[in-house]
Amino acid sequence: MGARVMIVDDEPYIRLAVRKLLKRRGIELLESDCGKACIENLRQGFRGLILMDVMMPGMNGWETVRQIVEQGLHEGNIIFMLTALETPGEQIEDLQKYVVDYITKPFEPEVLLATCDTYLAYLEKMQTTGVK
Amino acid sequence: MGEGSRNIVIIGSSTGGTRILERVFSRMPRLNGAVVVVHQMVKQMNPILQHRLQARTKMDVVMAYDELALEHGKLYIAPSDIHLKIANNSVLQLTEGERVNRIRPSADVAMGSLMPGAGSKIVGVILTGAGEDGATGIVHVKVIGGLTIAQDEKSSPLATMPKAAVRTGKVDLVLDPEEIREKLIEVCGCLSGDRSDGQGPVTGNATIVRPLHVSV
Repeated sequence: MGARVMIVDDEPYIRLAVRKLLKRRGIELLESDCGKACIENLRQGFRGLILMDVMMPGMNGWETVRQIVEQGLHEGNIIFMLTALETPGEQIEDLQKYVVDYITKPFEPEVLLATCDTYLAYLEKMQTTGVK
Repeated sequence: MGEGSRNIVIIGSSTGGTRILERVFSRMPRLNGAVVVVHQMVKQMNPILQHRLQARTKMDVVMAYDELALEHGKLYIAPSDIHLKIANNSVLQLTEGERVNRIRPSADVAMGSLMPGAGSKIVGVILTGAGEDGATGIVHVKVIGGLTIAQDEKSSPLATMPKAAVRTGKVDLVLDPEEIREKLIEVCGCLSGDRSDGQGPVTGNATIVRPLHVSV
């Protein structure tokens, strides 16, 4: 799997916007339209940066993060939220440490790109130096 | 500096906290106090947070370890998955133990370990995050005579945590990140001659992979 960035969002226009944006940077994007698809992509071996929407039908973003963690699929990935909204009624205190950052929607293209650049560099450093 | 006479700032932070901490410590001079940051993150993020904060402040940013004596002008980051306490307001202690508020390290545990310090200044700060960690700690800080601050809702990506602190009725000030920085400088003061030095772009000793220069 060559992509280093995965977006998890049920909105096709958001996925399209991010795909176009990253393509200009030469960054391949893997798209998941729901939490379940995200989990499947992780099982298939995706490792990299995960841009996670919070409000999604079915499993929301935080529930997806919980599944990722419980299945041990978070290792080698960096997750950040496309918004940091808390889902009402859900206890997420223990999940917070797995979400390294957030971007609020609608996001500025340069903010998203800068964030991707930053964390991709960190991922690369972690892989080359073995930082855990 | 005698035992228990240190100025100590403890900051609790969670979701969205990385960028908020960057704002608080942007161009922060060396405070005449020791700052301890209790931020929720996975272990692999420990050095990254250290690098990101070191890129913004003249304070010496270090990862906390057991039996490390607090020094003014230094910012200590609590490592993941272990509680942090401060013994006698002077020495860091890392301790195993059950999660508190479903998390570890917990700001409640860190703040709850502080003692009243004659002649010293104690400050508790609660930044963005989910849940209620830090609310009990803030009450403790207030009881021992410290200053308590919560981040304002508008600037908090996730305001549940600072709002829980405010609900205790023991928060003195509700501020945005830049106001928090100025208040810490006002309360603690700076190490000699450092305020003017802190106004320009700063770099620290840590290797900076790629600082994030984006506004929230």
